[in-house]
Amino acid sequence: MEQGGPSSARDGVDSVGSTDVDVIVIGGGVNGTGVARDAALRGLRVALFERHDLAFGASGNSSGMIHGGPRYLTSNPDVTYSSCLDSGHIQRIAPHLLFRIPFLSPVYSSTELLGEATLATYDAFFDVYDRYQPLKGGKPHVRLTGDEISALEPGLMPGARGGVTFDEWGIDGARLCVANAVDALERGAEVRVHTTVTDVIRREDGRVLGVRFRDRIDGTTGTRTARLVVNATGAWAPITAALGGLTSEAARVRPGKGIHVFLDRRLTNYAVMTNAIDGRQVFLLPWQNMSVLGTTDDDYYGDLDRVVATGDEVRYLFEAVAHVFPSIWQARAIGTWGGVRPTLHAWGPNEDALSREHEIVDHAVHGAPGLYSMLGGKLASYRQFSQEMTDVLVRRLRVQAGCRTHLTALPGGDEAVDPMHLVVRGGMEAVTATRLEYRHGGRSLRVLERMLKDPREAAVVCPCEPVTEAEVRYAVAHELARTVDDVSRRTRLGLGVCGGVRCAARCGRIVAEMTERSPREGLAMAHGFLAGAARRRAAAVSTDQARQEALTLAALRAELGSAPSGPDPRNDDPEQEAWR
Amino acid sequence: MAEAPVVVVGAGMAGTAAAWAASREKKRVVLLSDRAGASSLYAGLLDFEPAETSHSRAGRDGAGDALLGAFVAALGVLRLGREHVATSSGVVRATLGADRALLDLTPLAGKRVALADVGRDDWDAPLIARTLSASSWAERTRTTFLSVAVKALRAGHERRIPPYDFALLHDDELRQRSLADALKHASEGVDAWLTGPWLGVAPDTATVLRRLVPLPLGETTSPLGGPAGARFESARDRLLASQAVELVRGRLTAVRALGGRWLVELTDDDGKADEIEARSVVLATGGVAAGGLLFTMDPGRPARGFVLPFEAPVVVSLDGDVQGGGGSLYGPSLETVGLGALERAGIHADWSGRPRGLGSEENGLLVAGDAVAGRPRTMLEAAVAGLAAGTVAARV
Repeated sequence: MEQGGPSSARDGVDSVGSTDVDVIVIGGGVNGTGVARDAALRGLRVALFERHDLAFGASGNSSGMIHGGPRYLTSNPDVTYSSCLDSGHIQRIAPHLLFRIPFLSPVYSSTELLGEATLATYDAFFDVYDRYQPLKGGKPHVRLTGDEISALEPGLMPGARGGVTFDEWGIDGARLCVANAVDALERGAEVRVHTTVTDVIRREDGRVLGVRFRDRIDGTTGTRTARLVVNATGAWAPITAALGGLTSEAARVRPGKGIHVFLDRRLTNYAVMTNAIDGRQVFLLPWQNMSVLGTTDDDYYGDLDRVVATGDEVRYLFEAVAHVFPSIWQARAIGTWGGVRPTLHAWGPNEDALSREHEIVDHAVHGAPGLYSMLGGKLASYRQFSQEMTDVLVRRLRVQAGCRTHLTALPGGDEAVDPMHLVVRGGMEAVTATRLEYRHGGRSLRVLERMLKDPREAAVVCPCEPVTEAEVRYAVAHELARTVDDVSRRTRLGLGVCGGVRCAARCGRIVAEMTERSPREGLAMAHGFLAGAARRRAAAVSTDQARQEALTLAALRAELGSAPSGPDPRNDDPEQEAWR
Repeated sequence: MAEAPVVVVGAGMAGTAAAWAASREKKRVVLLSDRAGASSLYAGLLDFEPAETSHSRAGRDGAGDALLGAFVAALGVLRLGREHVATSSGVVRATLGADRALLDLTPLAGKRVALADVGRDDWDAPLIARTLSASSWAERTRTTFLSVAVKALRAGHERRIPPYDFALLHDDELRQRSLADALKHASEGVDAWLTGPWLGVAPDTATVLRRLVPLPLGETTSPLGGPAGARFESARDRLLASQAVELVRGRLTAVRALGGRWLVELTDDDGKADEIEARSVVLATGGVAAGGLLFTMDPGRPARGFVLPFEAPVVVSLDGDVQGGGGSLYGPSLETVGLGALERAGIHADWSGRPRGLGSEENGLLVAGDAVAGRPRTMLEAAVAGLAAGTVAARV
């Protein structure tokens, strides 16, 4: 089926108004949604296509921090400055999505003299970093004695000579992408998820005319014409460039895989920074209602659509953190996530030494005017990068419109809601209300409205997180969710200790019903989600999680007729198994 | 001094079956158990796997069938036979037996089965009914599932309490009567009632309700920690008491060969060490799900990967490979062997439950149930293997 636009792909690209849209953005990560929002705010007509789901790649699998980039302080203080400045902007436009993460960096050394010297270096370093902290509302660092640091975090290996604290901000990267996409949508943009661009259409002289796309769920295809096309596909950038007939070299990145392990609760009140066996910095981070262990950075040549942590990456992180936080071995790992950074390409340096800066490639130099690629970057600088890209777009389109993304609140960021209000009005439990308000800010009131209209929707579907039916339905109706995985990315449904046993099938039924698919498709979707989650957990099953995993397998087999149990999910039709 | 007893370790389905079978052989039986295992958390199904798997693999014969039938009858809460049950995910499952409180759908083919929509958070009756109606079983048999409102909650909090707690309320006679009245009131055009797993924790609540309604009535499978496991536990306790099995609370620490006999070492509930001399021992200690087998990735521990939490002259295997001394400090990589390894690992034993590697003089040590490597993790398998092991152990 063709979903043709108002004009064919061939005519009138250079005259204003004759194309379907002004700008097509390929990629629904933080940069793609950021550009779509910025362009929509400046009055451009925008269409965004995402092959998987919003935040499917690096944006939804990062460490979940809008940090100030202290590691660039010595090599590239400009990056630190702009990171801190933008962190401040993001706090203003989406205050509900940010949470403070105080870090501890303990110092252990063989001699007191060495310890003193290290502490003095840290102290001096963070004196400089402190100058940038006011930009992002961060607190200045504090130098601690060994006793003080042990008192703050009793789980630390005894014998620290001292340490320092420093202040950073956590964020839910997937929610940030969703907020940007929803804002673009509400400002008139067309946003399609699970829709892959199959071709970047070009004129004989090379000029870009638009794209052809295919919906990966229902199989429909179509074309959109545009005056400009932005390739914001992160690690997929070379592949996208190749769709336009360019060589992959034209949008080259050096993909770096990073994995995180998440643990079932907040093991510490402070994030603990330490060094791995190879000297790399790794951390144990209290993040929302759990802890996160991260991260690795390795050149990646695998399939970008299926990035999964491996057992040896997980153990590298455990070994590193066990060095300063020994009881980590007893912690219960409930999942992993893996993402691939779209680092700027360079041949030679090791992964950690690569620049985290970003650049815009105008493919006019490759004979494809009208096509741009956004390469590199990091979560913390997405807004700045999006602004730079959109500045290029408006200049090229000769539109006079300044950037307002640092001033205009993201959806939900404009209104503070007291979770107690949700408790009193909606009869929610306090933890349900708090989590809901975190994800939706002022828009939690819209979810509340659903519950008041139909009390059945107040039912808690996922008790681990917790997530109500109203929020699941809201994600499908207003946040572009089309599968159980999508709902999980937006609400954290099914990511808790029970492994989705209690909620996946029900979420599948709801999503299927709302998207006019059969109940059996809903179950198959749930099965797919559970199999993926099992695949992501397998690498990190620890002593205490193993028993729960075995019980989960038994419970799922009883419920669904088969248990998704490993790298090789068996059958997508659960009833098939039951009837064999 | 009394004769040395048969010692069964573990009071799940396999251990209960073994103790029952050994006591039928007129032997003194001691059952050592520590805490609730996987049987206490089961779904109410005897068979999770396709029928032929457990049957053919367990190598059952006519005598085994008769013994199984007698055991299930003695236990009281289960029924045997090919049937269909519903799960709260909206799947219709085939099984070879189930808790009697579950609704057997087989005789209801082509009928109208009503889901009691009581307004609980975990029971979205209209959507579950639509999903069940769209199942291949319902489509083939032209069975209709519909949702019918039934007033069964007496207080607001009952909407969110766990299924077990809600089931417990229905052990009360007044609640049974009011639930039955509510169902009767809504029974017009209804051939049978399907409820969530709430029909009592006591073994007979569902039977009472069926008499009161009176229509075919039953529940879906239980979630982890639902009432089916609790019903198994009370039936088990009743059965073991009637067989005069001696119960010892404690944790197994070691099983050692002792010149034709066995020494069972344990730590009792107060943390004191104790020991029992046994003529034979059945290890029905469960797999990873029960805590009878540990999986550890902590390289600081002396033993890693799959390990037993007690000493015994047995080895642990996974897919035929004996574990220990392998190529990883952290045990097998589950992302390559699959999470299913958690259910395939266990004590290396032959199909009769005799651990491999024992000397010819070491008779009388047997394993059964989830503790055995490479066997289906089903209640049916546990019962069949437990009965066989208990019988052999008594005849040593």
